[in-house]
Amino acid sequence: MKGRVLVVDDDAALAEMLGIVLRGEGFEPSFVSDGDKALDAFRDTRPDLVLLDLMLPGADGIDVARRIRAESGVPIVMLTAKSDTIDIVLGLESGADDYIVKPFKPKELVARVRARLRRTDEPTPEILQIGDITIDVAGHSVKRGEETINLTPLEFDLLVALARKPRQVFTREVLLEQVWGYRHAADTRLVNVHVQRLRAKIERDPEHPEIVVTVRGVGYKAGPA
Amino acid sequence: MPPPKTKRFRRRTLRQILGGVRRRARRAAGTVRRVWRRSLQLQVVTSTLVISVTVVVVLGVFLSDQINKSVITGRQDAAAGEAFADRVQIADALNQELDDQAKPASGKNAPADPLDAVMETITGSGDDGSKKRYEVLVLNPASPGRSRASGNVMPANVPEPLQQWLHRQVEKIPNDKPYLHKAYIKFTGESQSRLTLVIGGLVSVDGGATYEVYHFFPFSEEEQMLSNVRLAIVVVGFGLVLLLAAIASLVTRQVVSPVRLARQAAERLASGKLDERLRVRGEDDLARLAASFNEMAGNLALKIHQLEELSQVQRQFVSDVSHELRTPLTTVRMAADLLYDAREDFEPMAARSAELMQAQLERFESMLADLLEISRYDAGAATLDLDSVDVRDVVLRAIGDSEALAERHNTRFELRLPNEPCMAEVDNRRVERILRNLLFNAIEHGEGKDVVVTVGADRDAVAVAVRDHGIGLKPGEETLVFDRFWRADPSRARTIGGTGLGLAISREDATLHGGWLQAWGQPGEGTQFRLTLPRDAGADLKGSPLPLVPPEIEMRRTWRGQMTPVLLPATGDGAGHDED
Amino acid sequence: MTRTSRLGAALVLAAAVACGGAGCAVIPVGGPFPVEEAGGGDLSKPFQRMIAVSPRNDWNAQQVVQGLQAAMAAYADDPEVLPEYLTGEAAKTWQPDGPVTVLGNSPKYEYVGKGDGKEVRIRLTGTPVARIEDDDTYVPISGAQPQRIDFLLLQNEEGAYRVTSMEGGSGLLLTQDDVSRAYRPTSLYYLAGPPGVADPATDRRLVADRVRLRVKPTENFAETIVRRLLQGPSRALSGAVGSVFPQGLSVRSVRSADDRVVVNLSGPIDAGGVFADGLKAQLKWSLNANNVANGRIIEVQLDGEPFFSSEALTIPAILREEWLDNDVRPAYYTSKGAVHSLNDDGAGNAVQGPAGQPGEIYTKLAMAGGGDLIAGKHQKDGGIWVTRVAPDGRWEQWIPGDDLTAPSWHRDGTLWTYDKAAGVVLRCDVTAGRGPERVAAPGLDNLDVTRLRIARDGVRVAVTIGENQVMIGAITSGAGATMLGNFQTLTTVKDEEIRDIAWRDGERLLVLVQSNAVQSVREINIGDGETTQLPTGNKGLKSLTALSDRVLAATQDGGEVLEFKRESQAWTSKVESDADNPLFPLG
Repeated sequence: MKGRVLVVDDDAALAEMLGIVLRGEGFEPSFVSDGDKALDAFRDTRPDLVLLDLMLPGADGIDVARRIRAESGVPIVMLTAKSDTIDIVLGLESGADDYIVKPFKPKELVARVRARLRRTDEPTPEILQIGDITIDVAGHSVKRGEETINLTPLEFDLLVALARKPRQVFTREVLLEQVWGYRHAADTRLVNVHVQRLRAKIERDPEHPEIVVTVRGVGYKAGPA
Repeated sequence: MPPPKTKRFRRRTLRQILGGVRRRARRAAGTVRRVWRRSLQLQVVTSTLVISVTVVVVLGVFLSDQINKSVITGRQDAAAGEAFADRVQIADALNQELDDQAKPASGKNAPADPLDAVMETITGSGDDGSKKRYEVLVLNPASPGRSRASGNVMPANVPEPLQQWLHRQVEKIPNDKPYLHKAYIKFTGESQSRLTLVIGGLVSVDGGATYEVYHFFPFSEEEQMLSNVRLAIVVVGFGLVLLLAAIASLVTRQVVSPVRLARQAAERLASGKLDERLRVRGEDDLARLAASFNEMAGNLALKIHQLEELSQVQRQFVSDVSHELRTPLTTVRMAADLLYDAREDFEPMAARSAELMQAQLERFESMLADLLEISRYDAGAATLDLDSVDVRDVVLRAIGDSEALAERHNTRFELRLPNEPCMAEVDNRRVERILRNLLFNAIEHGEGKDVVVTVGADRDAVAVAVRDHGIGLKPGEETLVFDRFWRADPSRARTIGGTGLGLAISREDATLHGGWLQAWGQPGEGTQFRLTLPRDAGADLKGSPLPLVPPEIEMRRTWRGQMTPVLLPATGDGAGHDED
Repeated sequence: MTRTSRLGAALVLAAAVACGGAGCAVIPVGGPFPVEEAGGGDLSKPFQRMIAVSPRNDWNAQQVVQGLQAAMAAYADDPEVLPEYLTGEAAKTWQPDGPVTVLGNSPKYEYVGKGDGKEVRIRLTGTPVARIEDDDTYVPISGAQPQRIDFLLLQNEEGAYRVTSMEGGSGLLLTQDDVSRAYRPTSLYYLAGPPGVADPATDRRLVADRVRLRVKPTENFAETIVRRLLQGPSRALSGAVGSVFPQGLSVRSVRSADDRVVVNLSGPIDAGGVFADGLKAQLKWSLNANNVANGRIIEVQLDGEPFFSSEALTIPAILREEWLDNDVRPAYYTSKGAVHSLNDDGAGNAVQGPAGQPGEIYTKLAMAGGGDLIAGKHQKDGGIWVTRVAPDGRWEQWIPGDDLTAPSWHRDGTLWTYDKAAGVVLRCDVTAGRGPERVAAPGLDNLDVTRLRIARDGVRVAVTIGENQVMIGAITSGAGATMLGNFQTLTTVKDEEIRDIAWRDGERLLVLVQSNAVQSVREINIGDGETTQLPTGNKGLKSLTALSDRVLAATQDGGEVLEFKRESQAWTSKVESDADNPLFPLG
């Protein structure tokens, strides 16, 4: 399971180090140091995953993530020195699937990258129905009636995880583990942001969600409350 | 037994009434005191009243005394003069009588007796005499028919002391000094006694006879006048005092109302409304005060703004530095990891170096994280991510996180959890961090003994107490433990390698929730940290469901009869509210 | 706080300061005692009193008697001292009542008998001057012999003398000085005419009643006057005059109030039916004549309330109506028997009618009050003839008789005379045409009445008895008929002869007295006998007539009429020749 990884980072030393680590794990890294050139490089290299530093010269990481997300659902993992909620939420809302706060361990990075790449591997033919939403798991598509809803792979995974066991309440920790593949406690803000993004796409009225419902004090579940 | 019941009821009612009265009086006194302390106007008016009353009383007494003196003495002098003239006349007439005894009365109507003649002149009872204002009594008790009086004066009207004085005077040189006596005398045929000045004098005739001559001057008019004057003085003085008080009230009001406005403006300024300004009207002192105030407020706002900017810049700098450090640190970290993983291929020295580098990098990293957290608090950038959670779960999770460390220190946790859920609106991540810090702290200082974790809840708050049985805290250290980079014993080595910021951050976290984080400790008895959080974030805490001092310590203390707890004020936040 | 209210406060302050300053400024300081202005002082005049002192043990008997006299003088004011001078029994029996004997000043004291030490007799010798009767009339005694009064004194255990008996028994013994000190001659005014007979509302005359009132220290003199006025007239006028004040009426107080004098009465008086004008006149003259409440309004109250139920009874300060007959009337004289009027500058014209015709037929002429009738005594037949003063007047005889006194007109138009032969008083009413009738005069029985003169007030009557006694009586009503009564001796002369009498007014009688060579004109107050001597000129006087302040006289040698000038105290000639018999109407 080799994959092409586009590293967007202006720090040459870090980029090189990332390259060493990724190569050591069998990935094919390619590098770009300027945010403006990141999109071109993305189009050229067609990576399976993007490692994106948030602080970049030129267009910053958030812009880059937004542009990439506009074109593709390829997993984006953000590298950030800022662990403030506002920065993370901003990054996640711009389209990133996951984030790693600097400094991180090489193993952690590899684990995240693997987790993002892994999910695309095993497609199971399956049709899920939740509310008026139809999910074709194998076809990777979500429809409300005839209307197709574009979801990122992560969002799709989140929706599928919830939809597979309707009415079961998932804590954020469980969701993190199932969707993001984290073993240990991590940032539940990831879940919150992505649930919101998902709701924005699939709910008729995001203010009064009917498909992904919050269970106060516990977590989320699919289906009407 | 109805009667006693009634009685008791009545007594209680009375006591209640008394109590109510006392309470009300105390309350009224308190109100008065407060009003007094708060009102400059009242103070000025009162002191003006007091001073003017004093001045008016002194002046009034002086004035009244002066008028009294001048009127009375004037009248007395005049009376004494008239009395003297009369006595001289009497003496002349009586002595003449001796000289020409045989001489017949000259006029047809003139009385034969010179005493009668002179009395007619003196009293004005002759044909052409005019009425005098005073009455005369001539008394010669030694000779028959030689006593005369005018008007309704009787010998009994002569005041006793005056008569005695005259009798004593008989032996001395007569016609000397007259004796003045003032008394209320009730004359015959009159219903009321009148204030009368009686002047007594002696007239001695060459023949040896001595006549007592008394003059009765009515003083009721003078007294009436003086009492009128006194009344006038009192009325004018009273009016003056009231007037002064009114003026003082007016003047202070003129001064106080702008000052009051300034105070209100200052209060608003103090509460953060830096735009507050006073209206400047005119050019008097108060207007200049207002102008100065406005200038001060302006400068203050400018300074605060500058400081804010400065602080913003500094915080930004700290934040930026922390962030900028991270990227190289990441590289270093990754490189170190690679080296660490490959250390078996190195020479022993290089391998050890890699290990050391790895460990210190981790410490460096967590320190950096804590620093960043602290700087976030300093910048006021920390926000709560509230969620309704069962605190028991949080505790259990924190214990789970700490178990590995506990095992390493051979420490066991003793959990005392309530059966029902302890729901509270908290920031899960922060509370967990607080508990983790407390647990790490307890393990580190617990010397391997059991760490007791208690959870309590009441209607308003939930509390978690973490108790170790380590060396405890010295008096005064209960607050110091929350200081940044504070160490209980600088010589002691750090075993876990905390950053020294953990408790400080925990304290900030608790405060952010509107909760308390307090410490108790006694040398040899161990330490207890208590976290109290309101069930609704931001609600005011009134007390904690758990005692700060462990119950067994408290019990022991009570047994010893030491009623004064050695409890020291725990922290700034909770000290005043701690009711345990 | 507005600008206006600040200004107002400043003004108030300024005003208060100013008032305060002014209050201080008006306070008078010092100065002599002001004599009380006429606010309340005129209700009584200042007076002095004898103060009685208790007897001392070291006094001798004479001093004790003198002390007793002083105690008598002071008795009315201080009755406690007098008994100290008396022994126990004497104090029990001694009475202050009865007439007061007035002795001349400086009586003499002498010890009578040997005096054994225990008992001493002191003889007081003094000339009785007058008597003050119970009815307050002052009866002068003229020409009396010195009186001796013996006092018997006993020495008590302490060796002090006390009077045990006094010759003459009870009654006060005062000296003239005592009386002048303590008594005030006072004129009270009553309504002329006997009560029940005359109607005061038509006559409207006042008659003076002279009394001596003792000054009381406990009340003002005005009150004393009114109190006495209410008691009614003295004996000399009893039955002759009336009073609007009924018996039983009393005085509560007389006091000054603001501009008026308030007389507060109490008792049974019918406020609605009272003769208010008479009340006003009586009070007004009784007070003013004694120099009390002069020029002030007098308000009469009944029990402290307004006199009438609807309004107050006030007497104005000046009462226009003349209640005393002192009108100015023309004077007349006769010249050769013809009556002429006497002008200011001397002789005037003869009157109309027969009286103005010369002739010496009628003498002792008298003119009626209206001036329209003249009566005279006919020289020949001795009867009284009357003529009208008019061109058609004729002499007519009204009272026949040989020995009649000179006629005297009464103000009511009746003509009076005394028939010496019959010893009766005769009266005839000329205007009514009634002939002579006898008027009872019990007091004149068996007396040699030589003159009878009726005073202008119509009440008083003066008669001379012989040539050396003057008696005063009054026209009273006895048993429903008019009579003359209340006769009392006014004066008696010795070694002198009374030549003529004339009324000046209701109170004063002029008496012309002739001694051997000296003539004197005495003006005697008929109330208390107070006598004033008028100087006489070098010309002998024959007859007198007077009206108030005017006194006219005819000279003895005839032919001249003199008038007495008060200013120069001398007689001046009015008509120098052929003039006689000056006369005023009435009197």
